[in-house]
Amino acid sequence: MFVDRYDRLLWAVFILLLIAIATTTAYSLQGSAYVTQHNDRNLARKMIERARLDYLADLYAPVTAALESGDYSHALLALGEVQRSFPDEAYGQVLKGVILSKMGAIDAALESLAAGIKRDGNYIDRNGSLSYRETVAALVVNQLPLYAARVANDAGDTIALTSKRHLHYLQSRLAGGCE
Amino acid sequence: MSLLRYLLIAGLLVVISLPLSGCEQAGERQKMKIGYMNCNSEAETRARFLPLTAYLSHYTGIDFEAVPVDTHEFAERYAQGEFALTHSNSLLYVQLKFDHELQLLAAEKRGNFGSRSAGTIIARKGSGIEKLTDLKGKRMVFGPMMAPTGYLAQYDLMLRSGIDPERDLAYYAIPSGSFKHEKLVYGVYFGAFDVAAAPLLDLEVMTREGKITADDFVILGQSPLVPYCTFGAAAKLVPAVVEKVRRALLELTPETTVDIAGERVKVLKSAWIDGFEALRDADYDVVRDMARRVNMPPYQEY
Amino acid sequence: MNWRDRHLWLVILAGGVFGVLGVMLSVWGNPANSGICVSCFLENSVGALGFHDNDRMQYLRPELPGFVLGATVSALIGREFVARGGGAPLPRIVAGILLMIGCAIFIGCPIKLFLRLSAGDLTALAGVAGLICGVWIGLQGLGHGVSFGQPLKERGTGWITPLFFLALLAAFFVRPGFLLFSERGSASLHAPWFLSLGAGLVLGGLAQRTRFCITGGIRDGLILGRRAPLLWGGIAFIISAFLFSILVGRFNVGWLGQPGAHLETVWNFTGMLLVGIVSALIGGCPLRQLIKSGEGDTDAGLVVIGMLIGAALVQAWGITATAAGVPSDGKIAVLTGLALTVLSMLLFRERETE
Repeated sequence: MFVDRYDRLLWAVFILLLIAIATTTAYSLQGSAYVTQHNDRNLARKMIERARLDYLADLYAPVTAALESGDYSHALLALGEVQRSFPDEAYGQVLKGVILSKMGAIDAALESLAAGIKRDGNYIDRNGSLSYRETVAALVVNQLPLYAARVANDAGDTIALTSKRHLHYLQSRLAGGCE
Repeated sequence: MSLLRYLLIAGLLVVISLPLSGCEQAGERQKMKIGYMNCNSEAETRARFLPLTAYLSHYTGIDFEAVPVDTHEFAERYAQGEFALTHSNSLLYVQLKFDHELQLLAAEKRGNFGSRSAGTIIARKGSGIEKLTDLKGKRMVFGPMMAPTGYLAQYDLMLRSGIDPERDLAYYAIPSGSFKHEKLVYGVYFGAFDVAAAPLLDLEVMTREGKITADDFVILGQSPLVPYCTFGAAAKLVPAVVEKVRRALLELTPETTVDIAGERVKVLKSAWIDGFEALRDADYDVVRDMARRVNMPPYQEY
Repeated sequence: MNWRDRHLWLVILAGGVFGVLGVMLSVWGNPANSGICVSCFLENSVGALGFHDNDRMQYLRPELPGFVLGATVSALIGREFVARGGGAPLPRIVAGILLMIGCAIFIGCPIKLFLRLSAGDLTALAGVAGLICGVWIGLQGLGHGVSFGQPLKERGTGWITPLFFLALLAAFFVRPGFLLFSERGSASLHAPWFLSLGAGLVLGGLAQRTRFCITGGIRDGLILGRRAPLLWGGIAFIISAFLFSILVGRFNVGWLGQPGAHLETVWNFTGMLLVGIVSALIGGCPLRQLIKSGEGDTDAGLVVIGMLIGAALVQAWGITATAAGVPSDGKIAVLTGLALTVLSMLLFRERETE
């Protein structure tokens, strides 16, 4: 690759270009514009995330307030009002699952939780904002043996089969792994 | 007899039977009636369940006819053999099961709790009525007497909370005519009554439709969840037909459509139903226990 | 120059139509001076497919499937559809990426370069110089034995790229949920779909029939001088675009305030330099690669895949220049692109002594 003058010319240009890259990189890293450009992108992402969290917290405030005070029926009605505008929103689905589980409607709770978490896994992540990981984990631990027993007793129990499938899905999400 | 003669006779029988079996299938479809419990009016019931009935006819090959039936006539007309399939509330199912061995086909899913719902006792927010013990001496409105989540569940809840509706209330009433459940919610909202026995499902639906808001009312108490509307089949019905209808109901999805007068109609949406699921008869024990405690049919004692 | 040559007039006609439709697509709704811009269309389209998150650059441009499928139909009619390929596949993908980096730094492909210039955008002059220099350097490389190999006949593979663009066209009409469409920014500006698609099909067919190519015109001009039909096609393109820009009131001569342009002359030059070298080495500008991929050339198909990747990268990594100027990452990227190009010229050179 050093056969003739053309080869040598190309190598010279190549080395010059490497020097130009190094110089431009060094210059860019020193300048505030480069840092600002990348900070802007990260900042924009953080702002969007914060706005999302604030918006959700604001939107569902009547629901979470009723849920925390143990007024589950009221929480469910308040949720119905929100869902009129956002029928399938993931956080609403998860909240509905949590409320229903508190009210003992486990089959319906599992259906809602699985639907919500399929839409957005954030709500079950260990470090996810607005995460209901512990509630869901407790539900899986407590309910899976019961549904397994129901299915073992009656293989035609389609409701138990469906709920068991939801439980296994939630169990898998809780176990983590790469998505 | 030689093998050849056997084959000739068998072939002849096949040739003769083929057109005959074709005639029977093409000419005479089985006919059957489905009794649908009226919610508000016959016209509404017919309109609601026409697509579902057409779907079942299409799926099973049986010509079904929808028969709207008032709640208080339902058991009697069923006993007279007017219809072989029933769509009723869970209390009527329990009664018909007890009296006539009605078979459970599938339970209707609607609202947040799927195939179940609950009864609530509500008061207007700010009325000073905050808990069940505040009910004493108040004016209360119930839903129709055969309504599991509009009467039975609340009556039972009050009895279990130490309140006798017959003695402890100032008085109680039951609205007449259509839209009884909405009437009692509005009755409390506009102050005609202090408290009402409202089905949770109706509160859900009215909230979702924007007719009321969650903050308009205080929920004083809520009953356990009980199965909601239920499809049943007469005991004498052929098992194959029962199974076919059950399968047809369970396979319904929100996307299932049927042709009604040249228009594609969504079956479930038209019937205000989210779907069906296969409950077990034991799931209705909670209704039976309530009926026993409240002294209602089929366990009523005089 | 044989002025009685039918092919010459066909090329001139193609150039003229490119100029007219290039201006008119802008009038019909595409962004200013971007009636035809292969790199912009690619960036928009990969954005619509969800490959980058710039919500101002997401629209599945019907012109792209139009170019490719128009070329396919034309090649089939002219019995020129031949599945062929096999020359240095990986470098061709990288070449596609480098083409998009060069275009992103200049803000536009060679077609848009001349649309900008003919609308009076003088900042494009540096790009013209860069492109001509680039093509000349590429030609020198080819003359000194740089080669990515000769394509061989293949069976069936030639349909892959046309089918891909047919699927894109189907997606445009079916609108599956994963497609994203900008509601603001330049991608929200577009001509009615039937005009975009119709123009794409016509231009694709003409470009296939005439081998119309901006860098090809420059290359032929450098080699053959005035005898090169493609050079006249390019001139016809510039003249018709210039006349139509004046006719529709979109001619605005000057350096400042030009749409989709920046004032960093060195980087305008460098961006198009990279595009010129790479185009000369792989046998055509971004549009020509689309056209060749439509007539069964899988080597060009690989360049198209590289361009799709590059289009996503320049947006996702913030490499692309804007009216505010060229970002630092863009400068590093274009220099790295040039370095890789020179290195590949060293690596893919057939030397006489070897």
